[in-house]
Amino acid sequence: MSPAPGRLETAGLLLRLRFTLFLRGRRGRGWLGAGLAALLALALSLLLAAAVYQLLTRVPGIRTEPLWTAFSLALLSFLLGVFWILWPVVAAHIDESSELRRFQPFPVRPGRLYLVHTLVALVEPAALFFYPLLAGLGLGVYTLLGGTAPLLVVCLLAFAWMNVAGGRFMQNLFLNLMSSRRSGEMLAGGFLLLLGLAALLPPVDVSWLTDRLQGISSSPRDLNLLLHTTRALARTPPGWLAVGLTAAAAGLTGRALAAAALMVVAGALAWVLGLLLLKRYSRGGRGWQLLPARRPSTRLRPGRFAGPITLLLMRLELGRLLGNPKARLTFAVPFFLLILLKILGGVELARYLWGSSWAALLWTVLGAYQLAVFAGQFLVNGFGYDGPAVRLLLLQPLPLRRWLCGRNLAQAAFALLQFAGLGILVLLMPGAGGRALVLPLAGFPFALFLCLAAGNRLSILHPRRFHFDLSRRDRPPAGASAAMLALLAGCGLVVAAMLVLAGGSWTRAGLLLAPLPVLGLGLWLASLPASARLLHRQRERLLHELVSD
Amino acid sequence: MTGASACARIPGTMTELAISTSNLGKNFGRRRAVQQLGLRVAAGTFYGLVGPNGAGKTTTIGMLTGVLRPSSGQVHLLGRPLDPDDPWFKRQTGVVAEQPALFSRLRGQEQLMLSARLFGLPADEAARRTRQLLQLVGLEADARTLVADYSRGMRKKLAMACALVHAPRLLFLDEPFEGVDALSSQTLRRVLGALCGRGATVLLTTHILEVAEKLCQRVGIIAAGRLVAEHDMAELRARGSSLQQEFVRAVGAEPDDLELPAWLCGENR
Repeated sequence: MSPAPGRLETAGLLLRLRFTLFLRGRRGRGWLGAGLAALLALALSLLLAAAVYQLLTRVPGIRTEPLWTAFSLALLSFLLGVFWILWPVVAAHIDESSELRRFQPFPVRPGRLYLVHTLVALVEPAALFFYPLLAGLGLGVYTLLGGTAPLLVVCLLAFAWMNVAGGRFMQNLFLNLMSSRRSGEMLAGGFLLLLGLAALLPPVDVSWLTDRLQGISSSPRDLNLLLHTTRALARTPPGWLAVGLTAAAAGLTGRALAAAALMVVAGALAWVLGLLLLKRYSRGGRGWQLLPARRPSTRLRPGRFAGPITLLLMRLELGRLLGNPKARLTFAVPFFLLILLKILGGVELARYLWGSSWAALLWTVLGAYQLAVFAGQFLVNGFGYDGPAVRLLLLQPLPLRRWLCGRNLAQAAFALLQFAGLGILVLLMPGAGGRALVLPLAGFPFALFLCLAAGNRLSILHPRRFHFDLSRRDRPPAGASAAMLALLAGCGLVVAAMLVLAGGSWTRAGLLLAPLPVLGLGLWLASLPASARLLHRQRERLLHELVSD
Repeated sequence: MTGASACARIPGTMTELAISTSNLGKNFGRRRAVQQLGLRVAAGTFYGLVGPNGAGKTTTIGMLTGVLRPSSGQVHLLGRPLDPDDPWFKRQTGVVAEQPALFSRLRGQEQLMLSARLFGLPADEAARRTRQLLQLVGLEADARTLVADYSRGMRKKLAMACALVHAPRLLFLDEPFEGVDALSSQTLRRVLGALCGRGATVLLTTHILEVAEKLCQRVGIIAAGRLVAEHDMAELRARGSSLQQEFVRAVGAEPDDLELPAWLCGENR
């Protein structure tokens, strides 16, 4: 019997594994593509870091007025922390390291495994995006306020640890929620709770900010609000960075260390909770119980399978999509984002920035985000999320065009349902409406139909995505996702061109935009025969693989 | 058993129970997947657990390997109460799940090497065993292929190699030959036979009676979550009976007066 591997050895092996998996996660793009993407992300991060640094050191109001300095610092810390923690959820990130099942046979305790994964998450390329921003913030404080550099670094490191642990906690929390049998009820409960909060709690008052942006000087009321907001932000865990940095700059070592310690403890708490949630997700329930295989609905009735074959295929596909944890996550996130925006005063800012067309533009932005995630994750990987079902269906003597049509209708229904839900929430807000609504109403279906057409081809052109078992959770090919995003950007450009042509008149814009959904529908319908022919060729290939298996 | 003589025996085996369960049960909601299972497998035995589809074989293996938490009862492996988080158990056991959970973005040889290193083998020994096992299971030519591109049978073979790399004392195999070609299947049977011959214990589940009949020394028949019969294969053969007969006796046969629908017989199509 071989001796147990040492802790460091295990950690080293798992670190290497995580990096290998990460680097190979973008198969098809190759090292050059991965390098370019990393450089692009780094460039963006450096740009933002420079902006943060400039904001703190160059903007006169912030540089000279201590209250504005404190407020800016607290706000930047808060935003950076929230974005960092929510990133794994917003990116709907589920990878091979998110589950214990693959590591189950190895003699490694789950805690050690999770610790290594958390440490890797601190330095993995996806996290590297945040460090220039953090450095920009730290340098800005150091330039503006001075202080002890090592103390500042301690605070920044504690902040990074808290966010990474918090991000993994959020990811596991959502994974548990989405994989739960009662995820629908839980989501509904969460919505109701957040809606209640949004309705009952007064939103964060950002009028002082909009007034300030309009050049109105700070009244005592403004300054009082600023003070309260700064204090409130500093009480939240991401705001503790601002407390620590300010204290370190002022030479208050004890206070700075206390803030750093608080962040470390919060990170540790998030880490423990994340581990418990991961164990629950991987083994189901308390202790080490695996979630049993989902049983088919007992509500199935023979009548459910009656009707036209395309409708039947659509119903089956929609059921599979709604039953897929990742799809549920993709569905839920924009709603939570909208409600958070409402609570945090983002809607007020949108109102200020976009004037009377704020609701239309907010709906458009949310719809674009929703479509980018759904199309980039699901439409380009149309056969990836339910391999066995696809395998069975491909073996049936069905006309492939109808089969594709049924799938696409279900995907469209899924996306439109989500879009309509978002629209209802936006339009229920006071002051929402106006002619500008033609923008999301015409732009979204146009982009959706084009995404469906492109998704069919991209899914078929990536035969590796023909999955044979549900346990595989490969990411969709990066090239396909990038192509889908490029298509979405192209749709955006077309819509923008129409708006420019309309010359600021929403009535004219409506006339120009109205034919777009019909155009999208036509292009999708025209693409179906070619996609069906391509799929036919792939079916032959699949059958050959099955026979040779 | 071929190859058994070439392997040294694990000391202290054959005298103790490798697997022992008492009153083991597992409920999924209101459904009882396994009930009051009392399993006693002596060390060094090749034990087969057979049963119809949905009988509870995979659930039982899940509980024995620590993947599933029993709703009732206890599991003892190699004389110790099972603690699924204790690495000691993982070092003693090898598991081939019905659907092997491998890293699809690793190459075959990397997956095997990783398994070997995580089981504490030094790098050179891990590399040596990786080469040998890949050759043994017939994956040498695909060693540098990504697991994502492996067929189902190839994955099963790789999972088997991963389960064997640390020479476990206890091997759990859930439908190990499903999807594996005949030639590799024969090789794997020889390997398992040799492993058992040197004193390791193998528990295999299958719904193919011929596999259990050829390989196993003892066979337990499980139906509706209960262990309904247990047989020593040598005794069974001496009695002139077969596993098929005992299985039908324990589980029940298809009704003789099975009436096929008319459309299936070619009428009224």
